[in-house]
Amino acid sequence: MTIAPALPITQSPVTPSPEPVTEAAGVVVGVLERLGVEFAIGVADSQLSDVLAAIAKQVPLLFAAREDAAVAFAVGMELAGRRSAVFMKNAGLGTSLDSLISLAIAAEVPVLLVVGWAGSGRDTLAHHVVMGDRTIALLAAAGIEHDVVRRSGSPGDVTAFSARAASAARRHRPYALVVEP
Amino acid sequence: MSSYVRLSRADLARSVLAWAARTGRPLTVGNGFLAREVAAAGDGQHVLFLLAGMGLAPAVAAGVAKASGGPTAALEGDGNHLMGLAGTATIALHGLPVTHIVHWNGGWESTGGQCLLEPGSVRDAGVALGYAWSARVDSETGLRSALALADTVSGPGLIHVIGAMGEPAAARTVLSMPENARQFRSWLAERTPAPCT
Repeated sequence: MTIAPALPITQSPVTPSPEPVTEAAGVVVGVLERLGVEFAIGVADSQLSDVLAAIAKQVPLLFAAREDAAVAFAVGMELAGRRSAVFMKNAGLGTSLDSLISLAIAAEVPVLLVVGWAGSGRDTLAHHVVMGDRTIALLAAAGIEHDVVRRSGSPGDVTAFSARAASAARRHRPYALVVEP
Repeated sequence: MSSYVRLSRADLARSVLAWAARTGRPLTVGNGFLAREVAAAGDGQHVLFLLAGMGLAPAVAAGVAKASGGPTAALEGDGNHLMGLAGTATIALHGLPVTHIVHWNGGWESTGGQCLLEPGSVRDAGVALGYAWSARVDSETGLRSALALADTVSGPGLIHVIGAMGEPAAARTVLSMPENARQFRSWLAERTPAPCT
């Protein structure tokens, strides 16, 4: 047996933001609270920054190297009896499809997603719109139930969203909160 | 010419399955012939087989470790390992107590034996990403030493097992993924919960 020497690794703790919670972030946090989410893991998204800051005030926010690893991590947590939420930009949904379909759905382990909907609404960047235009259809094709958290008008109904998320979990299905930019 | 005395895939599966059971570690196994071999090796209430979801076994083990606060293990082949390096990096990022065992036989055997060149040292990749330790073994004795190290050193560790292609494959497991997940969940629930940090 030969052994390689270990290298030091440093990690910085996530400091909760002092900024007030936005309406959209309040809806997401409200749903996570009602579902008993204890951790959130994923890959950060600039358009979810207010949502992530609000989540970090409630539960530990963990980061993964890629979105599919975050989904698999959440599957492991769920099997061990702890509920988590997985956050990502919609581009990460593409990266995560195998993890969601071939692992979470195939093994009947529910996963809760918080997806930033880049390329929709006021986000008109061409390289975002190409994914934004396909996001809802992609979720539907993957069999992932979802609700949209709006940035204008009413952001959404925490009670209704929570009920649908809980229903999906009881049926061992994934559920996504899709957050407008 | 190589002078390695290689550890067979079947022996590796038996040894890791028995070690995980003896030490109370949940074990996740990547898809392919390794999963078949572990399933054939004996009773595995503590095992989650990823019959699909290539490259994701270490990340699932990481989630179990985070949730339970206890050590876990992941066993996968080289193809899975290359595909799932983001999971390896995530384990390292959080310093989770996952013993990550990579069987490197130099090819994608279950898909027809396509050859794969080793990109440097898998062992060194583990520590480069931030694992606490890593070891390279090519024999049953070496594997026993590395598993003993996993029992005594905290933090993530990677065991790079040198294997070979051309060994007979076990039959597919008859356990479905949902059945296996329920069994694994029940086994985890019966363990004494550890504080989650």
